[in-house]
Amino acid sequence: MKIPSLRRFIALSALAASLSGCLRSTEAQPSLLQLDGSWTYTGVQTAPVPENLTGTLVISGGSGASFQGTLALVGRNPQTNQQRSLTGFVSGVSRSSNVVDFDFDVETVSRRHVGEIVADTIKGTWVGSADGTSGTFRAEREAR
Amino acid sequence: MSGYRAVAVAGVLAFVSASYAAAQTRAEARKDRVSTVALASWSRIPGDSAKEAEITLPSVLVSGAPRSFQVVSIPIPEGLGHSTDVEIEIAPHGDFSILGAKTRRIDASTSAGRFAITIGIPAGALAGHLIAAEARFTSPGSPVMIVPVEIEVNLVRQVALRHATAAINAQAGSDVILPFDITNAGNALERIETLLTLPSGWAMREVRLEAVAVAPGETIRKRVRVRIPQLSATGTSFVRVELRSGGEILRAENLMVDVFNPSSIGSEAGPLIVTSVSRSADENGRPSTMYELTANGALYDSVRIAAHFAEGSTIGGAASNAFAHLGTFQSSASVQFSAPSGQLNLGNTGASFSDLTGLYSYGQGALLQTNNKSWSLTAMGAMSMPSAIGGDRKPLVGLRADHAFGRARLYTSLSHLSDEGFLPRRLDALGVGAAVPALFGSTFKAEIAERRFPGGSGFGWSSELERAGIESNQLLRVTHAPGGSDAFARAENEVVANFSQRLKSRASLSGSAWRTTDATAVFSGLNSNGIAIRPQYALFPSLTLALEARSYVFDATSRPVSGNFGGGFGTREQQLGVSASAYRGRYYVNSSASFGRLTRSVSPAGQPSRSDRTPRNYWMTSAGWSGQAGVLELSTRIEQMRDVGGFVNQQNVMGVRGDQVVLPWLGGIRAEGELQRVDGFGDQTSSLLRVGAAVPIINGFAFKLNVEKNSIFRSVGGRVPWIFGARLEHSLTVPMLRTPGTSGYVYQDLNGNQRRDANEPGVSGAIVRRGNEVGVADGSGHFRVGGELAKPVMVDEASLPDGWSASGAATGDLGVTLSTSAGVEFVVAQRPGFSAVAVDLANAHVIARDTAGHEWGARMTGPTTATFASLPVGTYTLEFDLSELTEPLVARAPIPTLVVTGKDSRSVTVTLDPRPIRMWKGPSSPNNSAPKVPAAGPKSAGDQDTKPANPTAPTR
Repeated sequence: MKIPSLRRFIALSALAASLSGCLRSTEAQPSLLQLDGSWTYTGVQTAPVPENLTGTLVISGGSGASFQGTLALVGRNPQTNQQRSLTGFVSGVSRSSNVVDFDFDVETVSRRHVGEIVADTIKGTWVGSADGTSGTFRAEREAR
Repeated sequence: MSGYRAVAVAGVLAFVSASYAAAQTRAEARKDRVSTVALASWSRIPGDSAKEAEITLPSVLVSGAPRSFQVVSIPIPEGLGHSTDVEIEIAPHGDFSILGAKTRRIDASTSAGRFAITIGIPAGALAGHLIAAEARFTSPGSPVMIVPVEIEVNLVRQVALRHATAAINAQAGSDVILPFDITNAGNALERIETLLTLPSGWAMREVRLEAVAVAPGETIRKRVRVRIPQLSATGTSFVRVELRSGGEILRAENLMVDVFNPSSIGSEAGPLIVTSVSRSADENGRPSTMYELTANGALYDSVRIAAHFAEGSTIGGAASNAFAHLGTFQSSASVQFSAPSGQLNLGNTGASFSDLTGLYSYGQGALLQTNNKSWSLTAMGAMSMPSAIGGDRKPLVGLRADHAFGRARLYTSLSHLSDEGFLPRRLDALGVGAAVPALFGSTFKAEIAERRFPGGSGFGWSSELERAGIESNQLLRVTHAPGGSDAFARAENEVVANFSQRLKSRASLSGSAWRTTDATAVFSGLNSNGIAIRPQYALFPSLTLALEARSYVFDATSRPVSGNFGGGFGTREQQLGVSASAYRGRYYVNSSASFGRLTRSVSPAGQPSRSDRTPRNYWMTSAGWSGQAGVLELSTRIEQMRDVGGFVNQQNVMGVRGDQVVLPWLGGIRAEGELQRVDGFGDQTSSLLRVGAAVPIINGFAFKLNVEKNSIFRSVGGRVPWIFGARLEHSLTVPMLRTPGTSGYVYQDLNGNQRRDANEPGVSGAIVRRGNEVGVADGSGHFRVGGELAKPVMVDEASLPDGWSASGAATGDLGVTLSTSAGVEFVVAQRPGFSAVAVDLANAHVIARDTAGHEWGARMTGPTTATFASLPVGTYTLEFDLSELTEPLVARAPIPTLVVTGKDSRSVTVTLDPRPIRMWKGPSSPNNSAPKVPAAGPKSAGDQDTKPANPTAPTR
């Protein structure tokens, strides 16, 4: 009778430890890039169906290397001219002095963007998680 | 006298007080329904005062159902226990009745202390405590003592729902009143709610039916108005009516509604034309205007049109979002004509020919798809849309043909596809494929194709094994398409497996796995794979639990083109989750929790690789109510990560939304809205507030409004403005180009010639049917009915006046004739020289044949009488089959003609003669070398040689 109780205790302890680990936040890394502000976003979905993406990326906060913001896009299929609105939150991190890496959460899918920043322009590629979408993007800082 | 009265009153009061207290004590001590009475004491009071006083003692309580008899044991008051002459009178109250004598006289000193009576509880007795009777005890020198008899009448819940047993007639596209009566046949007040379950697409005019209080014995007439959609199927539909009280279904019935095609279908059921203008502004105040025209519906018979045209522009994400909420969509002009045998698309169109010869090709042009039982054809000719960055429009041409050979199918496709844009795609391909039945009910498909694309060519192949069943589905597909997604394919290599299997009635298992590799102009390598498995168990019909395990990986290597980021990055995520879904009535709740791990890696060109791993857990719940009056839902989502990679580490989303919510106090306006708040996201909160309404105006005009304040839509200055969007629309149903169906007249065929003559009037209100389609004749007898043209149109004889019957299925005009009974009276002629023989004619068969050759059969209704129960007007020749009779008989010529002219019965007499008998005398007799030929007519049995009396009559 004691063995199941011991096992249960160990299991619960492990679960509690893992949950506490989930809740713990690590120290922020030093900021590498100044990304706050509005960026004009243009992109193309290249697969599986072409779609032109235009909108505004707003990076409004963060700590250390991480940043958060919003992205509001209009997607337009160039062959059908059909248009749709894509909006969601952005969170990411600057990986080095010139590489940014962020997720755009839209319609239950995360689109992971990785790009290189040169002056006030970010160019890169993105891949959607588990929905087969991918493409390119470009963000230019709007005049302050 | 006044002194005596004062003493008497004081004594009575003392007596009542004491006896009541004693009785209360005993009554509480004994919980049985029949209480006893105890009198504490009794002081003899002078006669006059005692006679005037009445004392009511605690009641005797029993329970019983209406329409029952209860035997009640009533105690004799203790104060009368020594009286030798006690008169008892039982006085019933109301409709309660007493069996037996209502008065009796007893000697209380020798009785058992109680006596019994039998009380009848009336059928209409209300539930609850009722005074059924009282027993009055009178004894000389004592006050009158009254023992009430209380009956606790049992609750009887009985509600009747009465409605017409015949179907209610209604027309598609109009309202129908469903009348029914609710009768409370129980014995308590019922507060009754009415719940209607309508066929798909039908709608009640009332948002909800108010509960009504129905008293016992009361009948309330309800009339519910229901809207039947224009494109409703005709024929008999059922509306279930439930009467509920306190959640309990007291009664449920199905009402039958016969839906007819109105004769004016052509002016009512054509395409619905909606024109609209929408206007909104984006987060920076830039206006957008969009004009839209749509047409959807039947042009004629089974040919339908779906067209969309939009003109205008949308600037900014906020305006696009507002237009989406208003139901306004921008796209190139397109029109589609569809019929069961094919489909034609003009304008903006697209097609997928096969996995190898082209997927997702869209342009402007024409697409034709035709099919029949053994073959189908898809042909597209279009030009790609001009690119915003320049370049010519490119052709998109393709053809696919399928042919079925039994259960197998062969197909071939040819394509030349090309488009322009940021990354132009191009493919020239020719492929052949087959689908054949395989093991265990599965289908095996295989295709090979030559694919040519910019920068190369290759031989592609694809194979697929698929099994689809009610309780299990499996799919395995392997594809190799050189050129990948840059050449109109999903990927260069793809393996996909899906399955779902019901294990038991409550348990099921589903899963999927995939792996793709691709190389495009953007990615030199883009590989992904994943697996998911989900066991599910229905603990109760309304509660389902599920586990889900998922793993997903992708690795991408970007090409350093045009200064793009060059390098690789990848994501790996594994999750284990549990979810529960439950509903009760119109309420539902879904909840799921997931624990997982997320690994991200990035390898910028010329820089060291970075990889981080973090837990990722979330819990999400939504609960709401869904009904005809809309949807209301509360939702929450909590997501947690460790801040290793700098990505969001905690995010709480809470929201409430309403969709298509009816506002009864505003004339039934439909409203929608949502409120959402996001906490823990970065340094600030984010919120969304949106409200919208759809307001019908008059004459098909409607106004829609959408107002939103969304933290995501920020102006250049960082402000979050209110975004307004409005749409004014007009809806109009136009007539069909050609009235569908078949038309004609239902007419009275007075002379039975089955043609409509000048003096033959139409039959108003006659119902005609073709398959499941139903039509009703107007005042002139004109009808129109849809359905398959190959099927005959028939008159529903139940809709004809008494005595009239249909001539049968036909095309064009439909004749109905006045039918009447007709009889044939047989007379059996005697054979000369023989004594009369009784012939049993029960097995005689008589047929009447009309001028068109239709046959009617008669039934023997008497020893010598054959009766046609219903013969339409007309002239009939009679035929007889007497072969089953015990005696050989033939009908005597000339056989009379049966003429039916109207309601009066007609009868003809037919004489049956004995069959001639040929006597065989042997071949050697010279006298018999040649048979004698007798004269026509009945012959005697002694004739040696005859010929049949009626050569045309059937002979044996």
